Amino acid sequence: MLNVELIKSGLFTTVQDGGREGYAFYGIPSSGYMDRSAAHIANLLVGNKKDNALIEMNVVGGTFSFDRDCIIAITGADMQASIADIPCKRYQTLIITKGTVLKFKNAVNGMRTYLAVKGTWKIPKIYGSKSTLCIGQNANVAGRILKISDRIQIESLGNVHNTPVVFWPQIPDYISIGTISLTKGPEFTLLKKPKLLSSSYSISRRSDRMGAILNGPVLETQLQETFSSKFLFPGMIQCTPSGKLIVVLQDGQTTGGYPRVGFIPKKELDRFNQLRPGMEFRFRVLD
Amino acid sequence: MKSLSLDGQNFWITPLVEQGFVLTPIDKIINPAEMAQQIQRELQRKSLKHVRDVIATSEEIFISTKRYKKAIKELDKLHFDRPEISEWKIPVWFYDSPDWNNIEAKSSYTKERYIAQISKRKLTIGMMGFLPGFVYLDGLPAEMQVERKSNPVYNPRARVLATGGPYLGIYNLPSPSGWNILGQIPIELLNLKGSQPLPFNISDKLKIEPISEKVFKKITAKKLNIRSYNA
Repeated sequence: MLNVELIKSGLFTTVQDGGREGYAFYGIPSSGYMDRSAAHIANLLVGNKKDNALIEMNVVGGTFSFDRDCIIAITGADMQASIADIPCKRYQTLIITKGTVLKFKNAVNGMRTYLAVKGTWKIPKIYGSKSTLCIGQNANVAGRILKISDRIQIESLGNVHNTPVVFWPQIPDYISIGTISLTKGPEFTLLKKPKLLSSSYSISRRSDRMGAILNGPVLETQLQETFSSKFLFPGMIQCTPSGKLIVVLQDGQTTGGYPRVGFIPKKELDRFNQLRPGMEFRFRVLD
Repeated sequence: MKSLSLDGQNFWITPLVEQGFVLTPIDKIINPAEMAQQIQRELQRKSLKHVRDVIATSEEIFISTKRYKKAIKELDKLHFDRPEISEWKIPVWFYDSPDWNNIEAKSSYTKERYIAQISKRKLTIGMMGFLPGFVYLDGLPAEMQVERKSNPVYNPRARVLATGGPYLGIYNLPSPSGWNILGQIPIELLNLKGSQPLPFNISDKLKIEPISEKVFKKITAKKLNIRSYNA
């Protein structure tokens, strides 16, 4: 059994997998990878199933030690990773030898980094998923944010040194994201000036895995005061009475009472979730 | 627009790109949340292969699926039973929440009158969802309804009764809240270790019992859950 130990925890480091299904009725969100595409690639590079559990780091990464040789891959944001203080590359299979330390710093390109380790992660499933779900700092619905000295047990598979080294051909650039496409939402027609939706926005620093609050123009909606609650899913964009947009994310609510003016398609949501707070982008409204 | 009949009730089907589809009742006679609960029950029995999630609201049902047509076929074959309706008592300590100022100003009810009105009514479980363990309660008269806050504010307390738009609601966990907080509940309602996180069925009846701070502390110390409190 391989033990991966956290020596430094980073800003918001959690275990995530392909997410939870079947409990949205009770308000339990899907959770799971914020950048599904990057997480799938990390798992595929180490030979895991694409929806396997892995570690997701936000903005500032952690430091990890390994008590056995193992296979890893790093994808998503560039957190200046190094193995035994030697810089290492993202988007390829990497071999870690016993006792080596893997360090991540702050993200310089993108927002979220994924660390996949080959093998079966010995983490109990809660409602069918190993994904962490924390509502705020106090409510740990499933798992909790990883902290120093936490150990993750992984049942390694196969001979590490016979594993082929695979390179992923395209490394995404998150600095020039620029435009995010959105599909019109069920209450799009309530917008008084729908063209304003295509303006320039940035993600507020008050955002988290539940939702991204957007800084941008004030949008007005025609709204009855007692608008009944409607269903939501990750990517749905709500417009608050004060004219701010909130994008529901992976740990977000399953219903809500603000008009749903649009939703971000899944692939676009992967890119959206790599936008750093303050980075400007525009929405492109799809017909 | 296509339609689907579930247990004799007709729904319009509105597809949503790569997400699933929405079922909206055509005749508006039934409560869609009751139907959604039965779909949820089948989902937990693993008898639906192509439905990933179901979300109930008072006006529509959202079905999350990767296979739109196969999911509709599965729903078409479902047999629906009417669930039993239970009645529950919930104690609430109406503390000095800062939101009472807003509630009194917007509803033109004093706090005392507002509490008296809530407690004499039998409220109905309208839907669940929103956040883990959140419960929407129907039965708030129009003149007592207060709009949601312009921007959500973090509420550090668990198990609070709140109001937002046409509903009363229970937040079982601390979370950002766009609703106005009325009071706190001393008993556990949410069981995240159970296959059914909440004991309620849609359309169950609920009676609010106002309690003092002293009684709140006494009940809290006993660590009761909703079933033991109602036994």
